[in-house]
Amino acid sequence: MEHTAQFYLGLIPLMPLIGAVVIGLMHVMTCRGDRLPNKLYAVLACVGPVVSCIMAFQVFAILRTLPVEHRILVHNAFTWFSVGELKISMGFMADPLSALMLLFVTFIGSLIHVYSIGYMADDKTFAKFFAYMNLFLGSMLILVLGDGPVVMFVGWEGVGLCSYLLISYYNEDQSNVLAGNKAFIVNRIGDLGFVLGMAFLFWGIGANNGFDYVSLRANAHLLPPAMTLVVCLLLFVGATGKSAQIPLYVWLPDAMAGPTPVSALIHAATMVTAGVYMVARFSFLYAHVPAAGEIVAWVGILTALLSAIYGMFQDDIKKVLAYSTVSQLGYMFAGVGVAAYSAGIFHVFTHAFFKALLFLGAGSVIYAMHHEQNIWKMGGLKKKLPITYLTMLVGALALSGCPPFSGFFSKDEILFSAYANGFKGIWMIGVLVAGMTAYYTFRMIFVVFWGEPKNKSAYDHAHEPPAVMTVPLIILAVGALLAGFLNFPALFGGHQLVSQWLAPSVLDHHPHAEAATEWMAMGASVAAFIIGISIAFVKFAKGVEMPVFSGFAKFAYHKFYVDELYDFLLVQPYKTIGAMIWEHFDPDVTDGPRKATAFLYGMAGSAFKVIQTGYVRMYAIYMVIGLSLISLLISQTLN
Amino acid sequence: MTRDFLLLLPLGIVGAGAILLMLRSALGKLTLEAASLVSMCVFALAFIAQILSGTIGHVSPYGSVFNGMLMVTDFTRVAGLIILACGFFTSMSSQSYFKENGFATVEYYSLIAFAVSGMLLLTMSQELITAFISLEIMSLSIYILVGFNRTCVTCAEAVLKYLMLGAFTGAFFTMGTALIYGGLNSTKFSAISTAIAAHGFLHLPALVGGAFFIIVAFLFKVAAFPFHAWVVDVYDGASVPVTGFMATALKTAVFAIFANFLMLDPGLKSAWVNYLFYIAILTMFGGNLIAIGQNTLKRMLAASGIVHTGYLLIALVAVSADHFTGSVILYYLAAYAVSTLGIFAALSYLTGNGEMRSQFDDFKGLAKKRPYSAAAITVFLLSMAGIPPTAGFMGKLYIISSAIQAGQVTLAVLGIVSSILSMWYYLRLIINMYFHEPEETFETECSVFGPVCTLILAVAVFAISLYPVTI
Repeated sequence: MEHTAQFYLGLIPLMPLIGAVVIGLMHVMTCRGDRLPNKLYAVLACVGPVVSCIMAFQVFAILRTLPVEHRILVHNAFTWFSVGELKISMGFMADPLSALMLLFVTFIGSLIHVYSIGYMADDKTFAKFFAYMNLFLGSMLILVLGDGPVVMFVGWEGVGLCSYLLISYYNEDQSNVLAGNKAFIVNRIGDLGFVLGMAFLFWGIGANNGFDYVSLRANAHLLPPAMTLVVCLLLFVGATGKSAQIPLYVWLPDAMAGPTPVSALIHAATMVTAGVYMVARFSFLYAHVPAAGEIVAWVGILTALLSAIYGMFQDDIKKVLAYSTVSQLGYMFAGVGVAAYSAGIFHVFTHAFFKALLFLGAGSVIYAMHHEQNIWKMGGLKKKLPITYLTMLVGALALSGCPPFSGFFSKDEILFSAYANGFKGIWMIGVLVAGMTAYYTFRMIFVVFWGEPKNKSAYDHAHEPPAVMTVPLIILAVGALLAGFLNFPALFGGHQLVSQWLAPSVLDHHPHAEAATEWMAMGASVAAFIIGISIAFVKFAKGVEMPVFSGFAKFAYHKFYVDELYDFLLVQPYKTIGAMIWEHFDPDVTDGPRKATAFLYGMAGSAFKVIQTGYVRMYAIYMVIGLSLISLLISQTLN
Repeated sequence: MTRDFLLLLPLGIVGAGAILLMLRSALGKLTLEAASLVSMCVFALAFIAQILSGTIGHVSPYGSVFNGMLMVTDFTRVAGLIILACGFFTSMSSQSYFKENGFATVEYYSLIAFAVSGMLLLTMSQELITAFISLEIMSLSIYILVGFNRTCVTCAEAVLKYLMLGAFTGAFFTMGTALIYGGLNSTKFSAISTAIAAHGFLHLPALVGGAFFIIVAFLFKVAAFPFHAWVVDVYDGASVPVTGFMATALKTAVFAIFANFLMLDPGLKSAWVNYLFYIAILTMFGGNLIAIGQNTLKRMLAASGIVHTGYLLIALVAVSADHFTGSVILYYLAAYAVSTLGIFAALSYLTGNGEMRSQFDDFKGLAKKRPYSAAAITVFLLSMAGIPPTAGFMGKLYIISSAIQAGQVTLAVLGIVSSILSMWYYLRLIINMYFHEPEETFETECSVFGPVCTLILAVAVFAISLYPVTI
């Protein structure tokens, strides 16, 4: 059994990667002549993710049969490189944490692949899209399953690359390409943090004792506290890049330039949660330095607040969802920051369902409205798109934290842990953000689906998308509705299955609080939800025209001009310095000696060419001269 | 006995293939395509036989029959594999070349097989007369191959120069053999090494003189300074696939026997280290200077071949005679062989009828018209220039690090400097291919073999770079 599971571990990431190569090659071979039918690509594209998903369930099932303390499976595919004592294997590890991630990544990944068949049906480079998507899923699985930081980093960079490729997918439009560039460059800054953190960790304990999670965890106590803090913070810099936290969150809203399934898969459900996963993965380090956790939690909750403010004033349906993603990611970091790792990961899990659902729903709205994304031009769609409306409603209720939808349980768990672990400030902001979330989510629902249609002709042509798109929506809606019960709180007589399951992987700090405190925290969340939704109802349920922002609203609508600020403070000076080097320093200073050397060498070459006379007698003379010289020298040594 | 048979089987297969092709061509009716396929099969079979003949250590096949004249070691086996692969890919790219150029006959492929059998024998030789005979089997076949296009004046010029200077060299070799025989009463390597061990190298004047002449002959064959001058003209005159074959297979065979001879005794090697040190430096920099001045691709590649000989001489200086494995030398030879064969395979279908595209400028804008060929050529050039992650880079890395281990830091540094200088002419072609507008269509009437051969070799450049070597 265990052996089979280990075998699967190697195959799980391989399946989509093979798919990517096959589809990619077929696309490259045929892109000039007659293209192969889309149906063929559609089948090929879904095989890898679905097979991986089935194997992921089997790995999960096998893992469950093992005793709790032995729930760890490692498969070393091959030795990647070995330098001196250091040996890094291409190893894959399944433990409760990675198995949980594995399950929803493959499951939601498969659903989104199916959905994309419908969404991308008219695309000219259908195959290219699926090659990228498969490549993404393969990289994400490497990230999740990697048995050490190095293998994780391979996946980390792989998903970053795919994210870039897919954001700039509609590359006829320059702004999309620029959005892709922005995502890539901002992520590089985060990656630098990751690499540095990894290097410090290696320097500290990895060099002599093995550099995989199992060894690192066993040796974490050897790392001096100051060094641990540095490592934790540097790794968190990496996480802020990938998971769009302050100050590196700016790329995610722009990333909505990509096709909507991409936004759902990469920029909501899976890749952006990699940072949270990483922090939970390194919980054995964060547990040693509470200061690091505190910083993570505060950055997370402030990001949640900031992007919730932005979210309230957006008029692009995907931008609303993008800011809500940033905001929810902030919650997750708040969760892992206050040492409630299982709560944070549980929110990753539920969020993957309801946010993927909302994005796919938004996708089907956009599809129905012929690529219109401005919510103020929609309105009244609930009659036209009943399935989309109902499923999105489920997603919205889950996102805003309405009991008993999944988001309620996971968000409440985080807020309660923050409160019980003594972070009252974080808890208060968290509750406030919960209210704001309910407000902007239902503002979107009301404006899009309720009221009167703003654009009559588009409204008349709108129709429910085909079954390949609606069925995934329904499945995800069921997930968004029920996923929360997996971690049904003890307060209601539940068993907190997810927390128990994750217990061997993460070092949770379990708060001891009275039931009354828990009731109070829950009550506050529900109250915030009700207030938020009520305000949205009063303001938008009847249908309103596109508002004109002024004052603070205008300031928030323009995202506090943070992009412009970054541009002014960082990008422009950097460009100026670069241009200076390019225009003056490079040609005049560094290139001078180079040009001179090249000139001299060129001259020498021409001079040397002269001795290649082409006369065979000259060549024989060279030989004789050389021969004589060497024999002369040798005769010297003999004496 | 079975093992002895298996060890000599590749040689037998190639020799039999050569004779059969020659006989068949006398009867006629064998098409050129069929002949190239037959010779490819022969090389492939021999290659497989060579791999299957697995052996560890030193074995003298049929020692009593041949009186220990032949010796098979891991070193010679791998050298044999490289030579057989060179033969295979040369036959493959020749097929495409002769779609455009009509001077081939079936004997052409027979001669390549003869040359390869000579080379295989040369790697295994443990006796000077055997070495001389196999050297001549190889050389004579190649003289004919160089001058195969009888209507072409430059070919006639090339073969004449090569033949005259080669005869010169043959005379040196026999002279050396005679001196050694006079001094030791034997021409066997084992006798030489026993004699040196007993008396010390410098106390045997006949041996010092004999070794000197023989080493000079080897230096001529690998085109080391100052015996390099012929290379540029001969490579330029020979047809493209033959040039590729000479540049790779011949160099591998001669370096194998050279290393075998030099490593007979630490005394012999240490007496020569100083000379090889200066010869290596002069070869690298002289070759670079010649290459920079060239405008013709083949001449540039010939001159760059001189530079690569210089690197291999560094490896010869650096290896230890006590524990000789030759892995670094073989790795570099293999890396150099795939890159060089690759670029000649690409040229064999790109140069067109009568090799009309031969100058750097003729390849302007190739990347726009034939992106895959241009990409493959770029891979080969980068490998020759030693850019990671290609085989050429790893080969240079191993050579440089073995030089540092042997305490030859000067050689290592000069090797790196030379490698930087060589970018000049390698990148020049890449710039021409990618940064200029095409002036023609680069249409050629080639078979599928040439491009396939190029593709395989381009993949091999990366595959070989992954193969680990212990220095």
